[in-house]
Amino acid sequence: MSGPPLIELRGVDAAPQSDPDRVLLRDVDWTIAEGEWWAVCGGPASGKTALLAVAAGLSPAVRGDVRILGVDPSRASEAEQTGLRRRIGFVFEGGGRLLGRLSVAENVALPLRYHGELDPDEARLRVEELLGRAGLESLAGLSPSRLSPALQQRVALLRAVAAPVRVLFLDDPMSGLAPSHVRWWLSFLRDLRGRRAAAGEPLTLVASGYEFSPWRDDADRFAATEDGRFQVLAALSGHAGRGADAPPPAPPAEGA
Amino acid sequence: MNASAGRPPRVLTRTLDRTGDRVLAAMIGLREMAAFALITLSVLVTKFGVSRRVVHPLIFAQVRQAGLRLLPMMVFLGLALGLLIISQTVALLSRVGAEAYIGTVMVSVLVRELGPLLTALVVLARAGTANVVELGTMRAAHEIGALESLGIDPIHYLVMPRMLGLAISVFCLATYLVLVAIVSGWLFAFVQEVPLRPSAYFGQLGDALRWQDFALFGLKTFSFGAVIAIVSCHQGLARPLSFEEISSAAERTVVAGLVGCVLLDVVFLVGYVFV
Repeated sequence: MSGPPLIELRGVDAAPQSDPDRVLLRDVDWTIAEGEWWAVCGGPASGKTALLAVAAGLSPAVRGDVRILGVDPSRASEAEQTGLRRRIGFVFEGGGRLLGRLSVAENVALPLRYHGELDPDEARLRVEELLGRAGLESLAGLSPSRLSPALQQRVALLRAVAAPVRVLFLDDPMSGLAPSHVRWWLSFLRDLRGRRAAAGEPLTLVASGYEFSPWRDDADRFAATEDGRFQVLAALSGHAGRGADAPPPAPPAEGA
Repeated sequence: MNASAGRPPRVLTRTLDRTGDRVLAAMIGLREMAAFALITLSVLVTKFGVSRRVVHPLIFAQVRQAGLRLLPMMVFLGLALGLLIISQTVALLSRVGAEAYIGTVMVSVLVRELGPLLTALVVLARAGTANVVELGTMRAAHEIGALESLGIDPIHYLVMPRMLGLAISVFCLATYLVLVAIVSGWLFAFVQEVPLRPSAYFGQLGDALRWQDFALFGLKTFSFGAVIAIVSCHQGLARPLSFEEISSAAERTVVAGLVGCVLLDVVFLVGYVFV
């Protein structure tokens, strides 16, 4: 069940941060409400990553209005920016961009320790608990480069959720994963969402990918990025995948 | 009538164009680096106590990496330097019967000039290049963006500890270099049977040293360390890098660091003359 809007995009043009002149999505209107689980799918270079980065406040919109947790990130002070970052988690694609000089455990502990949300003992227990849930306890002292990309991505997820974020963005987390890893991700996310809901702190999830199929049973809102447009889908019928034989998207939902 | 008559030769205009472009690029680079230095200083002032459990150990790690690991090298250089200066000085001064000025020469050459500058160059070659490679790799691997996504200021987490660590390291290493060179100089004079008692030698050193020398030594060494840190961090972090560009960034760091330290040395020299 959806709560109040947490993130609102109005008339937004999104481009990669490294190349602001290459607008990939135009005129995006998108409202992400508390507790929703969004799946945003589209083909390569369709603007999914750029859109998620704008919605998470990591990159500025080329045009349009963005409000994240009631704050316009382009006008936010440094303290407000830091406050936003502590409440919004982001898992990057392709290994999660872990810090190569830190161990697995240190990577997961970094946001907790830097922001001083927990004292060192509590932070250590929290990291041990998270690593245990991911089956990575025995790898805690290793450098991320010793892990497979799938496990690196898992560590990046733990790092993003180590602090109690309100919104979690997952940029194409299932890409190239074996079915067992996909099952683990879905199970972890379901469990995390359930725990947060039980604690009265609903977690909002936004996941992107090439295909809707991994998210079909769990996500409750779906959107597609195609031909420079962002379309909220009223129903998922016909959007199980983005293959060459995939039918055109269903009409957009009104007021999305 | 020849239309090109009266115009400067094309070779000359091209050379002038290229020179102008390079000067302009150097000025823009200098401005960017100055802005980077000011941002770092402001972060140092406003965030020194923030996340101290995470950031302050990074300062000590930098001192270990850039300072302690270089200590054997500095002891070796100190031994060689003391030997070289004393051997040349004794040979020259004994010809004119001015052995009493050995201490003065040691202070002028070693404490005021060579000690801090040589230490800075060694630290630049070893720690400065290591810094730019490490930070450039982080930049190329998009780890800086990951830090920002976690609400961690890269200047606070990566640059500030390096600046403080390198400043402390250059000061400590230069101090050890000077002390070792002074002692090794006397040992060389002793071995060469120069009639110079320890009390006379160290007395000359004490007489030659003024309070300004200590102030200058401290200012110089801390400034050199800060310059090396700013230059290497700027080259590694300030602009997007690919893995292939990291070696070029390391080369630029050595050149810019060298020029920066020498120019700063000239500024201190001019300042010292007028104090």
